[in-house]
Amino acid sequence: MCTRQLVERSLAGDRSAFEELIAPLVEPGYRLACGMLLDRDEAEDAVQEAALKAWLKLGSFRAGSDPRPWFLTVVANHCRDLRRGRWWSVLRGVDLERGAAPLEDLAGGLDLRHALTRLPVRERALLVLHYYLDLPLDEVARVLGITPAAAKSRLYRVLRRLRGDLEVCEVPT
Amino acid sequence: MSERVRREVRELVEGFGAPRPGLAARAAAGLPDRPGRTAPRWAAVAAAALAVTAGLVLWTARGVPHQPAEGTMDPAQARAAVRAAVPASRPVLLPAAMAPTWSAEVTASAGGFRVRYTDPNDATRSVTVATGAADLGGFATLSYPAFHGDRASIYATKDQTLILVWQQAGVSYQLVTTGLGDAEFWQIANSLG
Repeated sequence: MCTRQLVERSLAGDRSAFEELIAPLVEPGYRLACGMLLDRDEAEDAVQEAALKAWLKLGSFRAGSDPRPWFLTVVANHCRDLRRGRWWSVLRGVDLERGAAPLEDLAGGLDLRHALTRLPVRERALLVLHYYLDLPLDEVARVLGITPAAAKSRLYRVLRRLRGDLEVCEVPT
Repeated sequence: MSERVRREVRELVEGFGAPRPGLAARAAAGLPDRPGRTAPRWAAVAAAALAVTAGLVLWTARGVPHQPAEGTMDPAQARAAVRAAVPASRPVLLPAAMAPTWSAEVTASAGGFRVRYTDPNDATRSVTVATGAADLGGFATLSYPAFHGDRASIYATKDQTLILVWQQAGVSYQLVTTGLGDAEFWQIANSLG
């Protein structure tokens, strides 16, 4: 059954058609959520919640288009909402919300993995979409709700920032 | 540089493991009925109610429903309350070394927990254990202690605050203290379980 038929049957209330529609999208969605949330259980929950939202918003899906970026958009938006929720909120007296953390104070022991986990969630999403899921930048832009030019410049900024921090670490002693 | 980033992103993402089998089926199983395209206006309200219900069902789909907990109690009560609120599939790490006289402010649900212990004799001394990621902006890194086997764990400080962030079984944790020394911090950290 083609995507168009699966969407039409899903819109008519056919859950099995919807399951077939999202089955190939679940793993990319889960990987994106892992990259954004850095938590396996949270990522699985996020994909399930995103599936529910996708089901309810299926009417907004444009017939004939690729469902993958559409579903990834739902996942990315849900993950961003989660990051604004209570379990990612600021602990009293200490600014603990992972976001725009300055990387400078990690200099001296920083490796690329540390730098990645400390990136703002939108920048990490961009890297996962482009480097892990191999989406071209125009699709990355669609998923993140920005222009292709903005996606390109954001990617450039992130790489430059990572490169700068790594150079600090890689100075021979 | 790009190839190195690509490799690290892949290792970061795949480090969480593959999704558990049947994730798509579990997601589809909890879907509400779809209202017809020409449904009357009241159907939208009903659909919204169904969506909320379905969300709750999805949230607890991995096991029996858990009772959220919130309030101030002693450390032993806090441990019991958090364990009752958080599904058994998620590790609950709380310090065994807390003095029984300290009070514990608990917020816990199926999605995670936060317990803030305070010293009744000195309000500047506190210990917080919570799930979720942390921003180390402004903190100075003291060490990478490989806490509980997590090579990416970080021990850092700012003013009178000490913080340890790590991941365990795919869950992000943070231990934060104020007004405690290094030795006291690690006594508490090493009693987490």
